[in-house]
Amino acid sequence: MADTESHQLQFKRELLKTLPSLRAFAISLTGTYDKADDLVQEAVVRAWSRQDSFELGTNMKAWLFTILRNEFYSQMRKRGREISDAEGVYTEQMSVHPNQLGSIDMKDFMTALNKLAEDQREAIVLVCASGFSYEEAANICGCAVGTIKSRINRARGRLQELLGIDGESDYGPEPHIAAVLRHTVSV
Amino acid sequence: MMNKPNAESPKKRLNGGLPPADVVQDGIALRLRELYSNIENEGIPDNLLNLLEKLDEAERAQTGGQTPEV
Repeated sequence: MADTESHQLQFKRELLKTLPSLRAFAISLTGTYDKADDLVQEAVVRAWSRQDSFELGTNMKAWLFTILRNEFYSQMRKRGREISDAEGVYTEQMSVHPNQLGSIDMKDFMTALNKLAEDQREAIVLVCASGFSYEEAANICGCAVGTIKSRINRARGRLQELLGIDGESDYGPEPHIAAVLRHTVSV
Repeated sequence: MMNKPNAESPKKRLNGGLPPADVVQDGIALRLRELYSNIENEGIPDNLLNLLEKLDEAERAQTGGQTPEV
């Protein structure tokens, strides 16, 4: 019994740790906070019911992201495409949340992100924001590593185009961003 | 002390982690990371925490006996 209990406990801990980034990913998929929260709930229930099949020590985060993503796309197939791309809602909702950053062009950035093709946005979010490797992202999306890389490249190109930046130089890391990143990371 | 190449600082264990070492760290990647850090730092909504508690309770009730149901 002790084994089962400690498995459960560890499962819960890891699940809880992953929730904030799972939720952020859900927001990028659904485009709204409300739908994202519903989606996360469904994914959590599903993951919970399958916890026996999860092997501790393996990648909980990738496992949860895969469950959530599958849930999202199966709902989309059922309900049609209305779920995604409610134009503008993403950015509207996000802007309600004060981002304590003071970086003015964040809103433009979100609008541009929202204009990306779904598969490209998903790829760039998984790798550049959620911290997965190309291989993990490929597993989550059920595609080849090369596909992920090319989606990310296209996403980058499109974002640069939308934001009117030619290359990296205009938009390189700035000291205040680095400071903010350090700040948010240490919270 | 762990000494992984991309774990220069213990602070980097944050949810979401940092992008893998082979990802180009340009302005786009940084902005994206910044945006997502913000969302992640909003915390977990109450309804989700409530759900977890309910699941937990249901599980306790179920495994209160001897063998957990599969």
